[in-house]
Amino acid sequence: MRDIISLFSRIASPSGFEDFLRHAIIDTIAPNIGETDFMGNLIIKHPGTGPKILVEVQMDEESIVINHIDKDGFVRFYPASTLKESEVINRQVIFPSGALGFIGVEEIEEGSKCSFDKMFIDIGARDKKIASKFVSIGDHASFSTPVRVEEDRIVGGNLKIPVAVLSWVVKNIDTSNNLVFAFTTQGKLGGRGAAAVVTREQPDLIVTLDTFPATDTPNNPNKALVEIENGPVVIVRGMLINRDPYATSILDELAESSNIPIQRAVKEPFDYHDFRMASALGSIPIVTLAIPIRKFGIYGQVASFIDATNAGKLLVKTLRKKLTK
Amino acid sequence: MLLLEKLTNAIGAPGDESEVRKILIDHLAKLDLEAIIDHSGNLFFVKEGKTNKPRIMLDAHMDEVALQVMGYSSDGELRIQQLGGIDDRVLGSKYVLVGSERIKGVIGLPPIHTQERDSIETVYKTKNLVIDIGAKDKEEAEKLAPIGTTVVFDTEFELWENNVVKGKSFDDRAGCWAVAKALVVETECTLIASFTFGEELGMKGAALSARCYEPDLVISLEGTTAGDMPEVPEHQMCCKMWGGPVITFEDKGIIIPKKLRLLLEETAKKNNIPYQYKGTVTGGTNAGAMQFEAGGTQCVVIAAPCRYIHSPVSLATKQDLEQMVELTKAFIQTIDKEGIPS
Amino acid sequence: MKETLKKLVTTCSVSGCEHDIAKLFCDEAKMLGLEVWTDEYHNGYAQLKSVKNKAPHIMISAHGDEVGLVVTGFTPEGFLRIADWSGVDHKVLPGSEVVVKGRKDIPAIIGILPPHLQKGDSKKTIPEKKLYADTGFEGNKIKELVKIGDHVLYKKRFEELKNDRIAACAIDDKIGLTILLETAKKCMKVKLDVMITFVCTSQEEIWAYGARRASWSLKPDLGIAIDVCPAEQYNESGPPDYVPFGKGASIAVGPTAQPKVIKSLKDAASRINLKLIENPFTRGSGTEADEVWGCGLGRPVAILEIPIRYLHQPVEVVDMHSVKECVNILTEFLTFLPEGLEEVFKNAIA
Repeated sequence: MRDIISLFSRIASPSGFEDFLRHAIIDTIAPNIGETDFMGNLIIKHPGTGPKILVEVQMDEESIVINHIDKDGFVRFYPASTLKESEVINRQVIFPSGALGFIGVEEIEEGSKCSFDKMFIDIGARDKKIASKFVSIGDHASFSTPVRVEEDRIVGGNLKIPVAVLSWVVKNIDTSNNLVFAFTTQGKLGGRGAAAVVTREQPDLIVTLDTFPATDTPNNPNKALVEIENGPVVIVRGMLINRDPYATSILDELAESSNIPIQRAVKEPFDYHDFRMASALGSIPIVTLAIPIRKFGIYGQVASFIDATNAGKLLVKTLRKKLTK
Repeated sequence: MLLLEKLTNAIGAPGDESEVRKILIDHLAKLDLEAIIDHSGNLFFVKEGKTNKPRIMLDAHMDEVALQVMGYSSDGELRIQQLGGIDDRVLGSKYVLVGSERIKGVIGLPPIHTQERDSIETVYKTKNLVIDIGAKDKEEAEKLAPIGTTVVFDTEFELWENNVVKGKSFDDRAGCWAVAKALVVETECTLIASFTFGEELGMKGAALSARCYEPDLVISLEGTTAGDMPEVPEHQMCCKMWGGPVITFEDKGIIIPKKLRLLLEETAKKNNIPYQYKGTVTGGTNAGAMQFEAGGTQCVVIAAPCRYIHSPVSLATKQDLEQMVELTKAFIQTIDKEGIPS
Repeated sequence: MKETLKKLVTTCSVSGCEHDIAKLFCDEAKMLGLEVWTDEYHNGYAQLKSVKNKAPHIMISAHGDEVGLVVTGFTPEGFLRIADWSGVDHKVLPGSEVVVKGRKDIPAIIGILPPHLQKGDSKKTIPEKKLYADTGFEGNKIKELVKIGDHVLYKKRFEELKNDRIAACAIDDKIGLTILLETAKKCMKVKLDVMITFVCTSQEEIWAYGARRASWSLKPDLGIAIDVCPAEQYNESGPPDYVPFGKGASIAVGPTAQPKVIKSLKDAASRINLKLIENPFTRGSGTEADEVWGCGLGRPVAILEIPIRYLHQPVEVVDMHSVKECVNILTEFLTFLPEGLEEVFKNAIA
């Protein structure tokens, strides 16, 4: 599990451009496994008996989309997912081609808001021609941060731990249940890839993997609500989306019987990705298992391998269980 | 707890305490004491003792915070103002009882999805709230609830399994209950039970009470704000539930004479009764009005910690209430033996 | 009808936990003689078959869930941190009595800081994050009884005001369920040309998952939703959001409500000397009919509403006269369906 996480956390996968990560996933699990659809979703089928369970995780991360390159080689953009202006100023970004740049901002008058249209990216290109070698209009760029592993913890940008956990699970799964594993795209843009997969596969139950912000930092008012290394988080209610109580109770039971610690939480901001899946077709029951991660803005994460391993074990056990409807 | 239940369920807005008076008179009938009512509505019982012993007054106020009908809407709803200090924010969406007939009513608030964006966070002031009793129009409303009719919250007393009691008006029916319970103590002092009117409107009845009976000592029994809620720093907590009866050293109305207060503390210690200080210098009681009367009267305040007073529902514990009575009784006996410190 | 409403209102059924109300609904319907069943979303179904072969299928639904709160955490002293779950106005919470649905039902109060401790404006409402529920239990004891994710509901009360008005919580939409059951009772006495399935749906307050599932599995030719709408009240009035109170039931008119069905309902009303008040809407009716309309390949819908005061607040007020009118209009519509609706039914693709 450590190696998978270490590998994935160093791959950038902006929304709509998740190819690198997808290839890494395929290489990790088994070469040539699964199918890729036109949106870039990776589907791995595991036929079996019983109700059809879709196990899903989003592959993408926050990003910006390039809409213009000016004559001096500066690049202009729009935020692709919901980003706050203050979160991106002066950050480093990385493009699909590998090029790096910094987000700068034009002079702002006192009292007026700093908006995205006043920002630009400097990739160190002298003019438009040179810039175009590395950057194309329509590219999505993601934010870049170095990654470092220390003992049981890893420090980085978007660590993609849920993706790593699911890959590990697919590798180690052993059950006669009817499962479909999906690594979906454009999740941060409202679960687009996932919605397509759901309407195609029409599952009876959806299990998603996600992250949950941990609150064990100094003087946090919600201290001790969710801590890292305290176990994976079972999300029991999400804003406007109910979690299936039967499936949630199975997670509870299995965690207790196998001595895997878990934490319960209520997810507060509304999650469009989960909503699109749960409200597709004739409403589909959904349950979410999340990894607790300390988040620092949109692109800073600190997490523990222990939680990931526990999540993986719990999920494998859960998927093995014979589910009655 | 039966007496406490009857007392807290009774309606007793300032100026309208007849139900409470009746319950107290019925309960104390067994002590064979004469009930005396003065022109303001104060109720007294005097248990005579020896003339060479101090005269101790046990005081509590009968009224609770309430509302008053002051007008009507064209649709037959009642417009209201406050009798006593209530935080506007607790009024919305509550059940009330209107008038002595106990007509059921509700204080409504508009639905959330139709409130304007920027007014969603604004507090609805009492003058913008109305009570709906189901009246069809203004005429019917006027007949059922004439101007001046008093309105109290419709909350029923409950004893929860963790020995927490829930109800309205612990401020100060808890005090009334304690006075009634403490009155039976064996003592040679003359005990005067004073159930006063209108404390919530500024201690109206208290001064009259002290002036009339000129006690040597007043023990004011109250229900006071417990402040043991989340995010309150220790030094700002007025007192805590389960912490025992509360001894005031100073509030916004009175400084309790130090010797008297220390004697009270000693009494508690000697009798193994837990106690706590009222940790903040806030609020006021009848004692604040009585201290000036009759050439100056010594007062102490003993209270029970109650959460959420001055709102539709309050909490207190059976334990704290019972200990409050024990401490009062013990203190009376101490004064009986040792007299009032000078 | 008041008895039925009281039974429904005093049953806890916060969004996501509707099994009790579905059972109650089915039990009541079964006693009337309908065929009943439930599904995994805790929708309660009650079906009235038609004498006609291949009769059009009408789904009449009202949602059984109510607004409530959810426990999001604990404070060290043992108070419960809470947050809105299905549409609570946090402004009115301080001083309210609530019930915590933990291992067992635990009474609690939503607390408020005493005045001397309130920093900042007492003119501003207390932010939701600062609200908490006080059960009187101490720190560790409460954790044995309550888990994160457990629900917190307004205390159940049912009070009769003057002039046949009722004050209670969750009139939205238990009054709709009452109308369903009362209509079913009346329709049992008549030979119908249509098959009707009355549905007590779940999770409407959090985006109608129950209704979506019901529509998907029943695939009706027409869906009618019975819900509530805000009525005029003191200081708050004016179109288009408000309908007069106590003057009858209303019908939603707008882009997604089927016009022929609306006309039939209005005609039915005038046949029995009643009137429906029109309540216009733009994007959506705000009821589960929106999801029924857009489910699968879509189907025509209409919405009848009862105007109530103080919608979604812990205390709502309804006028029973308007409710009776709605039942009569609906029954009249179902017993005498005009020819024009055949076309409407055919247009609904299965």
